Amino acid sequence: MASDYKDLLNEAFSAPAPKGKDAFLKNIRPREVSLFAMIWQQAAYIRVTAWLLAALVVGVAIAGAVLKLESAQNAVTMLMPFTAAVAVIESNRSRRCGMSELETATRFSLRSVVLARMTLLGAAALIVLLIAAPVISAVTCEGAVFTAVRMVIPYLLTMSISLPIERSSLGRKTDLCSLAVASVVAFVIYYVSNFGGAAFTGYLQVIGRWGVLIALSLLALTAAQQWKTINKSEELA
Amino acid sequence: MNNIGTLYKFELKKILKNRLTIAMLIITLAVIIIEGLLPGLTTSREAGVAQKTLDGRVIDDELLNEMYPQLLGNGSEWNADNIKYMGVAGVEAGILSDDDAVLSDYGAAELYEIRDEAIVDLMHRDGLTEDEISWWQEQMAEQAPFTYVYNGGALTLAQGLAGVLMCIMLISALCLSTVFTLEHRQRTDQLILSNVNGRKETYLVKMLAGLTIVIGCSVATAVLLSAMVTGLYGMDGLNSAVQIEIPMSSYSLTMGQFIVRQMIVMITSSILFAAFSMAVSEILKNSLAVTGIMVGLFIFGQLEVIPPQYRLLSHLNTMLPSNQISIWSLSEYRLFNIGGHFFTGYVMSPVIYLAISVVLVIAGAVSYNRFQVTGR
Amino acid sequence: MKLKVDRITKQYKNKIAVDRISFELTEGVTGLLGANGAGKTTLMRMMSGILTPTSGEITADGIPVNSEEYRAILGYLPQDFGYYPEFTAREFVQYIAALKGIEKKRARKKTEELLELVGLTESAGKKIKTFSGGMKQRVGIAQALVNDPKILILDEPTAGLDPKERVRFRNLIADISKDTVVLFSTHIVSDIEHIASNVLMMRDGQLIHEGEWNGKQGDLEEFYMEEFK
Repeated sequence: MASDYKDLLNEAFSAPAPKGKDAFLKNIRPREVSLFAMIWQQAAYIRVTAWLLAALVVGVAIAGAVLKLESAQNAVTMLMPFTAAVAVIESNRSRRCGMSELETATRFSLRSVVLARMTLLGAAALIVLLIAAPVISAVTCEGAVFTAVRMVIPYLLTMSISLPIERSSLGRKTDLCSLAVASVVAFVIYYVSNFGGAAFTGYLQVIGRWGVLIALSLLALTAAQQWKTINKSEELA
Repeated sequence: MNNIGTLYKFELKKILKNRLTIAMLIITLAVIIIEGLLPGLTTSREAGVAQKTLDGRVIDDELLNEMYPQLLGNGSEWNADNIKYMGVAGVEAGILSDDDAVLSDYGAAELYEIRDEAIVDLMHRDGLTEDEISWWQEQMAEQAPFTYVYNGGALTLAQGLAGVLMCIMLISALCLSTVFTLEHRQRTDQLILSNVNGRKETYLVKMLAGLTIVIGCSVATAVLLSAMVTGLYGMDGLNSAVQIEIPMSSYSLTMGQFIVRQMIVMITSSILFAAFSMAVSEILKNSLAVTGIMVGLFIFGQLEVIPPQYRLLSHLNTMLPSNQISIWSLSEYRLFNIGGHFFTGYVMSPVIYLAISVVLVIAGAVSYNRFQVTGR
Repeated sequence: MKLKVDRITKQYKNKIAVDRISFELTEGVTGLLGANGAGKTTLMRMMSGILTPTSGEITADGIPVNSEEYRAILGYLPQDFGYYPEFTAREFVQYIAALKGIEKKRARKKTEELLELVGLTESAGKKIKTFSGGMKQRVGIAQALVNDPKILILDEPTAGLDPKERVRFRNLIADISKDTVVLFSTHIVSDIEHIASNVLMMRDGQLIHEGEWNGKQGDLEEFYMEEFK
């Protein structure tokens, strides 16, 4: 009954046609999009591979803890460079897919898009570290900080080498440069830990004494390279 | 034939002109140099010279009784006077699985007996049948007593070959996985496929070019590493029994014979890596996935995550090229039983790798010949 | 030479890209007109043997399209083709010549002749990555002609070329077409107006017009616009 009256009223008193609607809509400012919303929006465009790899590292760490495998430490340390490589590849995806020019002309600058992606992937790496390091250290009975430093140094080393390579002409032409860097770093870890003998012992001693300082230095270097990448992203588009 | 030769040269050129290939070859060279130099930096030359003075001595009561008074810290502390016994102490410590065992409590006969029993226990742990154990016991019958020979040079080469294989794997994964996918990505596949020699012949020359690169790299790196090690340290210990390095090994091999087996494994593994990389990248049309699979398998092989009671899976894990080439493969007891005859992993692995390579090449050929240019 | 296309169809899961098309071509230029998505490229790929039809047959004097004999007399210039950046123009054409089964000595001679024909003699030793769009297309046409093809299939070869390059290209094709079956696809009517003796028009995978075009019938572009109303 009520809906009948509503229909009758609508028929008798129809709204007038809009006047100046288009002009009015054009004057409305676009809604504010917060920084967090923009970053979160970018998360949907980061490929599943990146998240899967991060999950794999955590999975290997947990599996190692459950099965009490000391080799899990080496496996996780060897996987970290690939996590870094995938992060670099994802950060440069716009350029690789030829989307840079289009993205430069959109509301959010290409720089902010690249920064958003790097922030997300960096946060993912940090979460991986915060979960995997204590879990692994429970198996190896080494300190969590020591374990974390052992994991983070290959990650930062790979990133600080891959970022300038990706900006170079070699990186622009070849898909697999970052993976190549990650593979070499992983190989070095494999070789030194299996055959290094005294070199490996020496490396662990250095990590024990200076590991945090080395990690912080690499972090600064990586941050500098990321800053350059972000700044040059529109130049290279 | 004329065209095959021309096409082959062009395919080689395409691979070698790729800057990533050049970078990986340079890295491989650097790895060989580091592998050659590293032992010299981490171990002292004097230790090697001292240990060589015991070359040819049988590890018997006479040698052990000579060594025991010289040991410090139960064989964990070494100085200029006792360093010559480091290798012999290492053999004894390797036999005694108990870290708290006092080396000087054991005579030679007791040591070898403990070794034999421990090996049989390990074989039972690994699920070997009584027939397999008997087979091994026949092999081991003439092994003891061991003759000590300093094996620094041979050991450096053996360990170095394992590192080289990883470089070959990386070259295959990073450089050869784009041999086919690059044509699709660069959109040159249309031009190639529309020509007389664009299907079977092109597939054949691409495979040949890839295999040439990896086999060439394997041989060149093996030769280079051997030359470096010989030049820097001498090729000591080729005739030393593998038990001097891996006391619990049941193989009746010298280090030289082991290195020959490693080289066969390396070349056949290289063929497998190349075939896998090229064929699977063509089937999946994705070079990144192939790189991920190959590197992932390598890392997985290091994990030792499969307990020995799952014999088949565990055995398959040890048959991965990265494990098969490692010096630790000398501790593998499991055998292949074919028609009542037993074969070790060193005999079977090249056969298996080549067989899988053939299957992959055929599968890749089917995929390539069926490929249709659609979309775009 | 008679190139016969008999009830060719290409069907994908939920789309028919080419729908029972039949026609016969002989020596001379045939223009293939149609809007984007009409099915021109799909048809040309089937005629080049790089895409298998769902049904139907393509033969050249009885030689089926999927045979080596057919590919030996075929020259194909795809739309938007790739190249090897590190190859020089000369190397690229020689490489394609090897793919076409041409003996090395003859391939070298033919390469030089063709590079001269397309005006790239001076740039023959330079890497293709340094070439302009027009120069790359000229390399493309050179590779398509290296085996003196009896059938030449050109898929939108003038896209992205400047007007001068387009005229040059048209004249080149007109010269070649005297002894060759040339199928030239485009959606720019003026490209074939003056050189095509025969015109095919496609829309939504179907052939909507097939016939001779000798200019006396009026303006091709008007005719085309009329057909596509």
